[in-house]
Amino acid sequence: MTNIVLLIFLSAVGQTQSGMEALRQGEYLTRIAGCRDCHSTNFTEGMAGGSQLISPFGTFFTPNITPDIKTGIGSWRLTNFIQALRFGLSPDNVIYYPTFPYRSFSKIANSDMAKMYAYIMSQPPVERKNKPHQLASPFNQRWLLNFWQFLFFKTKPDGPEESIKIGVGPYKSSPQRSNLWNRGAYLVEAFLHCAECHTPRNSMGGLKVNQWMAGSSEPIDGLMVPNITPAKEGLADWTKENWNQFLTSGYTPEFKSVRGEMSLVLHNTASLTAGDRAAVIEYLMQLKPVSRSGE
Amino acid sequence: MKREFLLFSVLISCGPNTGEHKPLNLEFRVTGAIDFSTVKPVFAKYCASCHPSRSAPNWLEYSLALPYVSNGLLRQRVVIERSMPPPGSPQAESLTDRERNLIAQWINAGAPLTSPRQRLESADRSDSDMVAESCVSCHGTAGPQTSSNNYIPKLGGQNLKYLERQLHDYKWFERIDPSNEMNQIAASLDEKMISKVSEYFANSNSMAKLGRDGTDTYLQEPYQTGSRIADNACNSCHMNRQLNGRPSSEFVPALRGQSEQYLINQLLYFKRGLRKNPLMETIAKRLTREEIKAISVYYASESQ
Repeated sequence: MTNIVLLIFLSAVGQTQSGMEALRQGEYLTRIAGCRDCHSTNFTEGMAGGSQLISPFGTFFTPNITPDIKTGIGSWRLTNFIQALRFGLSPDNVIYYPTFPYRSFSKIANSDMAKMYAYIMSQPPVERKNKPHQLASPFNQRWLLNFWQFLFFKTKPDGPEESIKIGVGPYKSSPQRSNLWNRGAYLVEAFLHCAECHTPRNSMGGLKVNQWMAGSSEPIDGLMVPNITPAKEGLADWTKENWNQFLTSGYTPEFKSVRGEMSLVLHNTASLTAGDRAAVIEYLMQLKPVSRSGE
Repeated sequence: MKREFLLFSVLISCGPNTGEHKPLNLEFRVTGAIDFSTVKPVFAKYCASCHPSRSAPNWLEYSLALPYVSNGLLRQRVVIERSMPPPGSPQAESLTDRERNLIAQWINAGAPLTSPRQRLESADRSDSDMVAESCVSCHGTAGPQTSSNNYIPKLGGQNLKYLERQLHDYKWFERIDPSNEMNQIAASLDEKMISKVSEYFANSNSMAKLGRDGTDTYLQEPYQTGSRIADNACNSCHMNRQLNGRPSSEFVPALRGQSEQYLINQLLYFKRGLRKNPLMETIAKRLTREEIKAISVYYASESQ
């Protein structure tokens, strides 16, 4: 069944490129977006969900996103998939919690979403029921998320900078910047979603736009999240080679290795093609330096 | 008496399993420096009364014994089948499992004549190639070295910066060899010699090359499981597709064709925090013992 859907879909998408090529690219994009990092509990299984995300608001359990009809997303059409990534809405129009980083994924272009969909649907289905989230009141009231989306996921963002960061809709390249920078911005903000951890949040869980990537005082797994802007207490002295070494091996220039969740993110950054990595580095090195020491 | 017996049985059970079907061998093999002089007394005690005969070697002569190590006959007869010394003979009755173990460990270590440190001490320090050659007998020769049971890594063609980093880490006890052998060797090398020795291995493609190790594991379990896990957990760094299967960085080791036992040991060290690298520790902690075995079989079977 899945195969038939896939074939029909691929013949629609792959007018110029073969289905295998679309799948290969879909795998690449799914990998650098880090879907597996949250949607699986181990390295053996598919993305059957079930892993815990502990936050100040309660414990979230990631859902099954294998193409299983009953327990996964096997019944989803491409439009459902795009709606979920672009607007954070389920096929039944239930709002997702922003632990699912649709703030980032919203910027992915339609064509790339289609490739990701093709890849995810080509994976073997795994039957596993989703666990309900365990959230404290009032965060268990999903309708409140309407306010969250209104404030921190803007359909009418204020200027191009805010659009890249917390706007809804596909990434729009900025003509003043180079192609390399634009590609980097697209990869970092739409796929790698670095800002989800590296940007501090306010008390309502919204990202602070003016402190983009400046590190968070909210530790994850007991580890501090560093400032990765080129500020003095950030990564001002990192060269391109330092960045390259870091993104491919996990070693900082001082040969400290990454730890915690970042170890899994390294899978995604090490998978980047050389060209894409150069773009990512270009964008990250040109971030606005932000210092949080005055806080 | 009872305590001694207990201790002895623990020792026996800790040793490598010598049964006919090799089971999951996931135990660490912690050995000190082992060389010909360690096993020579065992040969003298149990073998010399019959050998040399016409068909068998003189076990007290290293050069005459070596061919029987290379063709696997020594391991086959003494360690696996236990058909030597002949069952029923007084020698067979008195040869203890510990002593058989000792022979197995000597074979696994590459059947060295002298211990690595002795070789290093006799090498001319002004000649970096000679220093490096004293490493080769353990880290990359043909013959017993290619045994999939081996816990010593093959280093030929390994990434230069990775090798330098490891020697540096051994030197300063950032990485600890359970037998301490590598720490002492690295401590006797200065930084300049470390880079020269590393270069020697990084550039030596003719010998000591990482190469296909397993023979019949391909397309079977646990190779298949290993391949699936490695694709999710390891390959983006250690066998990057865009780089034709080279590691993503010079600081990341190539694993294709590495010894299976070495890979198992290292992953277990990471899992238990005995080898320090927070990234690898995080990943290894998520792997079960069976998964570690599968990954190691997979990499050992992959050819360059």
